[in-house]
Amino acid sequence: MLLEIENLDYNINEKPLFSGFKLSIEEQNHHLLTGPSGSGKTTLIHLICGLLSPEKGAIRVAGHDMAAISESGRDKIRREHIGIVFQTLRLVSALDLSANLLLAQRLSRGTTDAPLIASLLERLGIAHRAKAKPHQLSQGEAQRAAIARALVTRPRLLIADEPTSALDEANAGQVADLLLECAADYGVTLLIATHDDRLTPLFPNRIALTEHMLKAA
Amino acid sequence: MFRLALAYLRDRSLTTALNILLLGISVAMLVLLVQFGNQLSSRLDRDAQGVDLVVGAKGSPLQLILSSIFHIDQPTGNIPLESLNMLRRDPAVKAAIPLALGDNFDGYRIVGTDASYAAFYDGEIAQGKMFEKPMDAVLGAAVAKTTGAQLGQQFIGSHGLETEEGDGQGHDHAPFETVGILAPTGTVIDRLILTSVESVWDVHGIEHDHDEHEDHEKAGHDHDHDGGHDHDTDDETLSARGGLQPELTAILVSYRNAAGAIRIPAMINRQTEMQAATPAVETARLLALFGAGIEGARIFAWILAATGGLAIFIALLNMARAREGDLALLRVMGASKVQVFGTILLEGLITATAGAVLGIATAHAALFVATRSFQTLSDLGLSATLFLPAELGIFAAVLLIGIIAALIPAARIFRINLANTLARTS
Repeated sequence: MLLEIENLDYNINEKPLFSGFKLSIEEQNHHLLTGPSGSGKTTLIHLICGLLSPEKGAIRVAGHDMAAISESGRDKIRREHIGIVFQTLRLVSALDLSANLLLAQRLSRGTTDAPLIASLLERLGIAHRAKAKPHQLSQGEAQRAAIARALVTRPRLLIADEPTSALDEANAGQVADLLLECAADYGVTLLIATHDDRLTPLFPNRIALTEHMLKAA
Repeated sequence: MFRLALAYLRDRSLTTALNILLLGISVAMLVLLVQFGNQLSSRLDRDAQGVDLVVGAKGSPLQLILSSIFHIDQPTGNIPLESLNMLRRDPAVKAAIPLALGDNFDGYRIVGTDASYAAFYDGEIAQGKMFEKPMDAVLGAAVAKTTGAQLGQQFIGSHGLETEEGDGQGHDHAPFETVGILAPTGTVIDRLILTSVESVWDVHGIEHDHDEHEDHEKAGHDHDHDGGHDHDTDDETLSARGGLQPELTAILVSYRNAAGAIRIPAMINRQTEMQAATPAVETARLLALFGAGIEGARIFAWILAATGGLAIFIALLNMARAREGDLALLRVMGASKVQVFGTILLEGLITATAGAVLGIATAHAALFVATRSFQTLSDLGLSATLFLPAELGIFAAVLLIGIIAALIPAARIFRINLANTLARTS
């Protein structure tokens, strides 16, 4: 099991957001995480990534319980197993695309793999933008660059938080297709948090969070 | 992380350049002050070492010291030749060295003296020999190097301390001949041309007899000149017969014992038409005059350095605020808190290092240009290539300023709530 959540309790402002929440995702079994704003999609992602600690329960990523280890331990699990794509926060602003990918590799693995970077950029159709700074990229290019940044460390789980919400129809379709294709190519499991209905037909599995319901669908 | 810190600095290059400039200016000022103060003080000490008293014509004692020891001012006037014998006869006087000044060659002062003057500064002959007869000249090491003069070469002195184009005061009837070149001593004699006192008299057409001079080792002989060439009469007096009397410009005195220090200056100042100036007193006065200005400038420079530190602090604080999303992303990408903290600290350190290096390089370049542009600074022996330990201290202090300025902005990374920041910025 790649991701396993058991009896998760998490409160925000002393009000329960998750109570006894359960979830399990196997390798190569992609999921959409849906729900209206405020339903806890982003919080759940942060809990899975180890950016938040639950009040109770276990969050196992590749067998490691994120809830039971120190912050630096969570940093390590995240570094080694998880790639994250955000809606707008995509790349380190001061570095060009290629340098961003090199930095991501160095931080994650301590080494760099230039051929992998080149092939990923080629695969995502942004090889010609390798030397562009983040602010020079279009929305679609930037989101593809963010996917490249997340994949370049060869994670087992790629979590994307609203990856297509800021994109137009054409770019949203392209990014979703690329996510699925790359996941297949690089053996990555996807967990996509979104309220973008355009993605629903592309993913067979869906975890629906309902506001104040606090339970997985 | 070093490359990332550099990339962030490049990303806001104007702010970075301004901060580096601010620090650079303050460091340059501090280094110049340290260099100037240190080199001036050590130079003055070195040149005045062993000279307990300078006897010369009445006037400003500081001018007498500047002209007779450091050779950077005009003499106060002339003194009678007999005063040399008077001083040498005094049991409290260990040495009395005559100086006859007035001319220069290519900006280098020609000093009429005796062989003991070079020995006083541990001057050794590197080539040729010490001057023996009139119009023999021995060049200081710096003079020989700059002018490229060789042994046997003849040159003509000009009146005054500096040569100006077409000043029409060349003593072309009486050329000097280079008979020796001194080894470098690091003292004032490196920049002097030494000759006998008689040479100076001869150049100016002053009739003299060696019997008049204290140096009875040489056979007395007369040098007769037509006296028809141009010369300034400032430093020569006309005798009652209308001729010029052989005189000296100053006498450098070192005491045999402490009693001399009490008796001789008082005797000279009260009982003769001459004045006695103590180099230690005048040098201290000169340094005190400079010192107040140097201290004020030093305080200003440190304030400027602190301002530079404040500018780095504000720039990094603003950056850390504006870059919260970036910093959070770095954490998500796997950077530890310490790594992100180090990146911000590095930015401060790199800025400070660049400022310090720029400042030190600028100061030495300025010294280089100044010593070549201003004869006085060159005469003071200021060197652009001399690095002082104090500069290392300034360098370290500026690095510390950079680190301190970056500490608070960098420490923000430990207070950032990653989930909140990502929720807000992603």
